[in-house]
Amino acid sequence: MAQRRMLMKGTEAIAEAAIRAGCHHFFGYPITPQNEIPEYMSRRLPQVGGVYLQAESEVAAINMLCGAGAAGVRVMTSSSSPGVALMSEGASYMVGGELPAVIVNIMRGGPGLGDIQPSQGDYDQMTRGFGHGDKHFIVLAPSTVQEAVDMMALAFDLADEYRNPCVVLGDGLIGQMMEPVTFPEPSERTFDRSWAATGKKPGQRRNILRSLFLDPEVLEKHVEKLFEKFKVMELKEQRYEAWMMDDAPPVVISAYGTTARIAKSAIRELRAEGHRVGLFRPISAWPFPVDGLATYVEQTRLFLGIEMSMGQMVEDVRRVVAGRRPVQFWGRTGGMVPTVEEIVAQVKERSAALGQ
Amino acid sequence: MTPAFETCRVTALIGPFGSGKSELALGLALHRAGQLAVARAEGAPVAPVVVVDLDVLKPYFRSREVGDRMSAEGVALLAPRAALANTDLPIISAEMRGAVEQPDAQVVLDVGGDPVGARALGSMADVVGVTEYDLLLVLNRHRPFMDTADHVVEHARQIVAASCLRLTGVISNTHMLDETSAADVAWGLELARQVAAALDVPVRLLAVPAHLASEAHALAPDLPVVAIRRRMLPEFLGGVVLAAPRPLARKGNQS
Repeated sequence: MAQRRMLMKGTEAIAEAAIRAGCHHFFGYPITPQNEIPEYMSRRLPQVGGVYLQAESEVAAINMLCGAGAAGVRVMTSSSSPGVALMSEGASYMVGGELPAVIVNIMRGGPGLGDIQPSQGDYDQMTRGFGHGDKHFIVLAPSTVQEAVDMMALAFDLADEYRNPCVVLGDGLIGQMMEPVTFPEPSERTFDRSWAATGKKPGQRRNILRSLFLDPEVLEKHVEKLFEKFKVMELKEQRYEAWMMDDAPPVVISAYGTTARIAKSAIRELRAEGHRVGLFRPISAWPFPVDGLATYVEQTRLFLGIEMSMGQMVEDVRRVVAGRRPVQFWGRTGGMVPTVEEIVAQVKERSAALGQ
Repeated sequence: MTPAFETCRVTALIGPFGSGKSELALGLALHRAGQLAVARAEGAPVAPVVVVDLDVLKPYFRSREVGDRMSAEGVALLAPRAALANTDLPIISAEMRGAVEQPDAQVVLDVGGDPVGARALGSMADVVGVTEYDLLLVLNRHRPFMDTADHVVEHARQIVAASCLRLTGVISNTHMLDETSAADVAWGLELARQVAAALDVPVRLLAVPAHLASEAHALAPDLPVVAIRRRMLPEFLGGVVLAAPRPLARKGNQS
């Protein structure tokens, strides 16, 4: 049966897509601009026999995720920047204990309490600073509501495949804008859950899930084992979109999420005026699409990072470009959203300086 | 001849979350301002048209974000002022209540969705309830939780109860943004008529996206039709702004 299209807010669509991906357990604590996710879950999960629980704090919520993940069920939480920061410790425990879950961060302005307007200031938090110790999280960054829908099933599959929490990172606009969406057919993939702590049965081995290893040699071996997984993720899970790149444009904008969408509008305008500009849009923020970007370095004369931040993802671009080409940055913060007009002006000014 | 859309001096829009109340509030206020401009040319007294942004739920895409553009088109927009406009706090200022009490003001109340949003209107029921008002339920069948008429009717009753006012009609606002077809509009109108019948009120208006304006009359010859042009589009789709009030061109941060 063809799926009916629906008109949904990003947050609602994320929640519905999670449920359709088999997530029947949600634990969270409200924070703007993602409150429609728990709101929607609280309405829908009882209809599918699931569990919705508003925790007393983000710290409590992430530890409930630990428990549900350890029991081998699909579970998620959602929050926004400062709330996600509070989940940091528990998320690290989940990596250590190899527990799958999906964590959605709908970013708002920071630092501190900041404001409730859209932001991309958590790139570093999610790809570098989330949780203590040696660890990584796959971080997926949608650019449209439909992409966010499609990403939820993928996020749960990746979490199960690698037994590691997976992050979906959206700016406030992705969460709040409304677009028509279609929900994909549920994934056919099944995963081994024999490791889960679901009660020891006679004759079975006890399943112990933990992140505590008091013997340093054992802990080192455990960390090395985790990094074998991360190495596979870095090889297999790089995702990106290269847009308007076929004619080897001299100027390439790197942007993700909503900012990439604004950049596309700007690139259309620039191209209409004869400026050749392309877009490199990471879809996985971690693993950063190193191999994809590397193929464009030689042909490009200037990279321009554009973000709703003071310049976070651009550091990954610089890491790949490694000094071979100039990598510049322009961004807005505080909830100020770059405009098409501003991006057009930035590109023209910088192209002129290049002698283009 | 399609009937004209007439409402009482004070019109409050309520409905499920995301049914399109804010865009409709702006569109209907401009429609009213247009009607009044015609009347004024024929000698009627000048009457202010005011949209009161009572939405205490959604954090972005609120009618307050286009206040400047609305005032340029002859419609005043009342919302929490200055930085408070950018909060998600349930603020109803004295001037917002005062607009309803102003006897010549034509007022459209843009209310947050669901029963929880309608509670903000309920807190103003003392001033709205003593004047002539319309309380209109806005429905978009393409939204979640709109599967059966029974379900929508039950939800609508809860919303009306929270508003502490009496429902006077239904607005059929089924759309899919730019992808809306005439079939969508007809399909939505079918539900609106069922819900209106169950709630014992008339369908008062068929609202359609601007690109369907000419086709809509044929779908419902008995109903007024108002074409709604989106005013709170994301900037990259050719629209506006997010936060309000919004400082213009600033330099940005570069390296």
